[in-house]
Amino acid sequence: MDIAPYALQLFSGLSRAMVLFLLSAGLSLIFGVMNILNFAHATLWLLSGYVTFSIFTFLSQQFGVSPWLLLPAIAGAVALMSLFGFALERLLIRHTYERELPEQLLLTFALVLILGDVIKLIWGLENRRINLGVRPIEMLDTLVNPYQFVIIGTGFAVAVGLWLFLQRTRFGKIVRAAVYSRSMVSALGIRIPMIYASVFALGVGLAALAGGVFLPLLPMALGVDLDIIVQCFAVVVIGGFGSMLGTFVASIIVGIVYSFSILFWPDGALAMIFLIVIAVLIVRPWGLFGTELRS
Amino acid sequence: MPMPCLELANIHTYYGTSHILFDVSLEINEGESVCLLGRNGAGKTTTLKTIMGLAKGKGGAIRFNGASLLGREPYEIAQLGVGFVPDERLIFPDLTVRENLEIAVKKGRGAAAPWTVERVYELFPVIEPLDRRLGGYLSGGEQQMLTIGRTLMGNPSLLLLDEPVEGVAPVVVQELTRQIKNLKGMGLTILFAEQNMHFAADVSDRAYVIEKGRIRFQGSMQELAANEEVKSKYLMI
Ligand SMILES: Nc1ncnc2c1ncn2[C@@H]1O[C@H](COP(=O)(O)OP(=O)(O)OP(=O)(O)O)[C@@H](O)[C@H]1O
Ligand SMILES: [Mg+2]
Repeated sequence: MDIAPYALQLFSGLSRAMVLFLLSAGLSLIFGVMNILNFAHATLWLLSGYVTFSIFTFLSQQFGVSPWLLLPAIAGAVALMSLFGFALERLLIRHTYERELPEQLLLTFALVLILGDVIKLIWGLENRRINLGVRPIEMLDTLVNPYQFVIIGTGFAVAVGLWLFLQRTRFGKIVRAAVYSRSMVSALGIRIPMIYASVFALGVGLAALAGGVFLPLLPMALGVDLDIIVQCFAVVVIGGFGSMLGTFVASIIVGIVYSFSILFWPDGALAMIFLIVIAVLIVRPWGLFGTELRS
Repeated sequence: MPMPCLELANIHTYYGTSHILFDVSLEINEGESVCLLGRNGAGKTTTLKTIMGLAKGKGGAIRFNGASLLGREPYEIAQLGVGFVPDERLIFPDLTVRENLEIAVKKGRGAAAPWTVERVYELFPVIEPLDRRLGGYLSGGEQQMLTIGRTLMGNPSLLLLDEPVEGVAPVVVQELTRQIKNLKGMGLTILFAEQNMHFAADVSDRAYVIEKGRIRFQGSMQELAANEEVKSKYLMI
């Protein structure tokens, strides 16, 4: 048996899983703390990709082309996008917390369209991608893009870092407490509006990181965001809202199922994912690792 | 004359379109311990939540040490020195007992003798050995002590206690009663929401009786004890 195609799909599935994790972790935190379903999350990710591209291009013009410039480009994009996320929450998102669900969805969906137009306006319709010029390496009798391992490694590292952050820091503890009861957190004198804005900034920052590390592998293109946000929703439903471990495991499930379906049934990748979603909703509506929501 | 510490004047509270509190007025002096008595659904919790900013009051005014509380967010009201102990307790289940206390610590307030985790353990020795236990794994009595301790960590000068002995074993009720009297001895002003007349009589100086969102009686505990009409009409005693 030739295992090469399977290995290739495994690596690309895991890379996709890491991107899904970075996005879904933010999505799930934002939902857990503010009870808002942010439709625009993947569009912010897309925008971050373009921003990273522009910083990278600028730095290349200044200092000459080098793949290492991707690091400052990603750092810059993460910083800028986190600030943007913070401002977005303060100026726009926070006004919807007391509103009905349809209004919340309308606002974040409007953001999808607006940010999409902003991208079109600034970067045009052309796809953007960074070519790092890394050479494929030979593994298992086939050629593998070693950059995939960078993505997988980054994903794991961020997952561990995020877990430690939520577990150990005061901010992390406040976030976990707020997922349980934000009104109690507020009644204890903690400035909850700052927590909301920071959580939103953190979520957008994680998305920006995903956008940056993804850029050398696949081009950023208009419309990809909708494809990804659908998969992120699948991840949080399968893993359970509010559970980081669940989000991580579900990202791997969705990423791998997606890339293996492409091998066997190219058109059925999304269908396969939604079969799993439906199965989870029937058996454990609160997700594999989630806890039943309090009323 | 003692200083009025908390004052509600003609407050109305709504949940959505349902009108819950009608023209509620009450006053608590500094260092006093006052109970708000009433049956299930009378509006006790809603009154406390309205003071805390967790339910939106309308109409007259709510003043605390001269500051107006109406329209303020709960965290601002807490920072002014009001502490709320909810009857649902809302212990954060995946934080340890110590973390539940530490999360509520506030610098700068009540500078004289600020509350620390160790002082809370001194007041409630029962929860000290549970220091590293997750909040989700506590008995009712332990939860109640932790909830009170957590609120104390913010160094409040006014404590709003919502049915603190509800669902707590009788032995623990005695202990809690002693500790609450202890807090009163330290000079804290306390407003209880209560159904339990015996507990209320034991810990409070004055009473308000609320029924269907309206204040029906106010007076000393002795006056209430002597008033059979109020007791049978509004308290089912
Ligand atoms: N979130 C809410 N939405 C709508 N109505 C509510 C809500 N919370 C309470 N109520 C109603 O408001 C009224 C007063 O409730 P409240 O909880 O203040 O009573 P209570 O005196 O604390 O009762 P208990 O002794 O059962 O705790 C009740 O009729 C209750 O059904
Ligand atoms: Mg109540």
